[in-house]
Amino acid sequence: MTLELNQMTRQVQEMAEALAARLRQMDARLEELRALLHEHAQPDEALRAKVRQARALGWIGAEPGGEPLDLAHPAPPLPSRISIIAADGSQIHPDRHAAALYYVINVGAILYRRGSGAAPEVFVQPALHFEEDEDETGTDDQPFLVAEVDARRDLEELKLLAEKAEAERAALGGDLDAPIVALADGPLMLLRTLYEATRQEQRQQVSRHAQQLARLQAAHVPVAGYIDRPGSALVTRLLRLAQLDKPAEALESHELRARDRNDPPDRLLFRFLKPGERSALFYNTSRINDDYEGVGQRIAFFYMNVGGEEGGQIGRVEVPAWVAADPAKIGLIQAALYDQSQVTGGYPYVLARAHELAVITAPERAKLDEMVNIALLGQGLAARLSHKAQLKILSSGSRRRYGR
Amino acid sequence: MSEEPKEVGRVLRASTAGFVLGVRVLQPELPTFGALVKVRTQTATEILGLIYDVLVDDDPFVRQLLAARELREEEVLDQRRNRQVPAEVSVLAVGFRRNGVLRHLLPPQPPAALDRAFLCDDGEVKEFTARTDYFRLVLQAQGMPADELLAASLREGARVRGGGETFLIEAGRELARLLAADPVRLDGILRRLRA
Repeated sequence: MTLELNQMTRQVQEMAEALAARLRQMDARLEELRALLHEHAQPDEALRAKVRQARALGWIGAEPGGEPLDLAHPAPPLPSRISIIAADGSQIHPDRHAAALYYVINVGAILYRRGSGAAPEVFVQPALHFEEDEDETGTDDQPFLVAEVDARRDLEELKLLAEKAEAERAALGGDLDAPIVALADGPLMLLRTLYEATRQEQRQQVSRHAQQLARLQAAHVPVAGYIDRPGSALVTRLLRLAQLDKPAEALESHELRARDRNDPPDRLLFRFLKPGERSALFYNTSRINDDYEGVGQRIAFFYMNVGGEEGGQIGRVEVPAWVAADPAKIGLIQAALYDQSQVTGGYPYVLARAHELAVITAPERAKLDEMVNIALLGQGLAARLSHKAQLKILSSGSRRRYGR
Repeated sequence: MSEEPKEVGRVLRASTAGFVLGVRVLQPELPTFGALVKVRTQTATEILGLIYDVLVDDDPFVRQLLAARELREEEVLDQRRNRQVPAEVSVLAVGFRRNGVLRHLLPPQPPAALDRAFLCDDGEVKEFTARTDYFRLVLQAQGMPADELLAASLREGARVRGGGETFLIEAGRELARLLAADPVRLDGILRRLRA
C-alpha cells in the first residue's frame, strides 16, 4: 500500500490548527518569561540555592554563568586575519540485513583563512568499521547501538578539529597571538548520543571527548559547537524554577520534572537579541556535564543571533569552560560565527561546507554496497542480502496498482 | 603500464542516438566540448560519442550565496576549486565497437542508466578519426551545434597527430564531397577548422 494522502487531509488540517493555537498561547507565556528574565537578571542567593537543590534532585536546566541573565552583548569586530576551522561528520549506520555488517564514519573539515585571499583547504576522512563476529554483537534490532556509532562520529569530528588546529598553530610558527577558532556542527557535549549508555560508558566517552578539547586548549584555539534552530528549553526551566514560590529546601523532584506544554524553547525567549548579539553564559546542569567538569572541560552555552532573514536566526553555542572564562576567546567565537553567517544568510558558511564535505549521499552508499559485494565475492563469500532486504528493494521501486 | 581511463560520469538517460551523463566534478575538470567518450555496456559493446553540451546544473548552495551578499575572494575560490559542481554532459553517439571491430554507425542498443563513461585516450581518438564515416552522423544531427562539433572533433584528431596537416586536408576533401550542394555550410566548417 502507498500512503493514502487523501485520507490525511483532515489530520494535516487538525495539526495546523493545533499548532497555531499553541503558538498563540506560547506568545502570552513568552511575555511572562521575558519579564522573569529581567526580574532575575542578577540571580539572588535564593535562586542560586534553588539551582543547587534542583541539581541535587536531578533537575536539568540552565545554571547562570555569572553574567546578567538578560545580557545582550554585541559581537566584537573580527580580526582582519583569522583562521577558522570547521568540521562535521556523517555516518552509514550498520544494517544487519545488508551483505556485511559494517558502518562508516565520514568526517569533513575546512580551513578558511579569512583575509588571506586564498582558497580554503578542505579535508575528508572516511573510515569503514566492521565486526568480525556479528553473532556476538548487539541485539536482534540493532547490531551495534546507533548511539555508539553517533558518539564515535562526534569524537572523530572533534579529533579532526584538534588535529587541524594544532597543524594550523604550527603553520603560523606557534604564534599564540595569531587568532584561530574551531567550530563543530551540533552540541559539544555528548548529551544525546550518551542517553542510553551506562554511567561507566558515559564517563569513558566523555573522557575521550575531553582529551580532544584539551588538545585544542593546549593549542590556544577556542572551540565551539553551533546548534542551529535549537529546541531545548534550559533557560526557560531556570525561569520556571525561579517562579516556584517556595524555598529551595522545600523543592520536590516531581514539580521539577513537570513541564508546561506552553513553555517555549529558549530560542524564542532570546528573540530580543539583535543580529550579532549573544546572551549571557549558562551551564547545563546535566550529570554528563558533571563528568566533563570532572576532567576539567565543563561545557557552557549561550544563545546568539547570527543574523539572516526575519530579524536573524537564534542559535545555541556550546563552549568549554576555559573559553567561557576568557572574554577574548568568547569574542572570537562570537565574531567568527556572526561573520560566517553573513555569507549564507543565517548559518555559518564553514559549517555548511563541512557538512557538504562529510555528507554521504544515497548514490554513494549504493556504490559502497556494490564495492563491499564485489570484495566479498572476491574472497569467495556469497554477498547475500537478508530476505527482508531483498523484498524491500523489490517493493520500493515504482509502485503500480492493478484494480483496487 | 597504461594509464587508468578517466571517468566522465554515469549515464542518466539514453537513446541509440545519444545519451546524457550525470557528473559531479571540480570546475576545472569539467569535460570539454568535442571530446570523444566511450561507454562499456553490459552487452560487451563499447559505444563511442562526442560531447556536444556541458550544462552546469542548478546548485542550491550557490543560489543561496548569491542571494546573501557580495562574496569574498576566499569563498569564490572555495566554490570554484574545492566544490564539485553538478553537471549534465550530453553526448552524440557516433560509433560502437564490438568484438574488436570499430564501426561508425549508431549503436544497436543504447547504454543502460548508470553505465560508466570514460574519456578516450589519444590512441583511441587517433583510431576513431582515422576514418571519416562518422561525419554524416554529425552533420545530420539535429538540435545541436553540429558544425562546431565536427570541427572540434577534427581539431582533436589533428592534435593527437601532432598538428595533422595531412589529416585535416583529407578531412576537408571528404567534407567537400559531402557538402558539395551546400558551399556556405562547407565554408563555415573549414573556417572553424582553421580557428
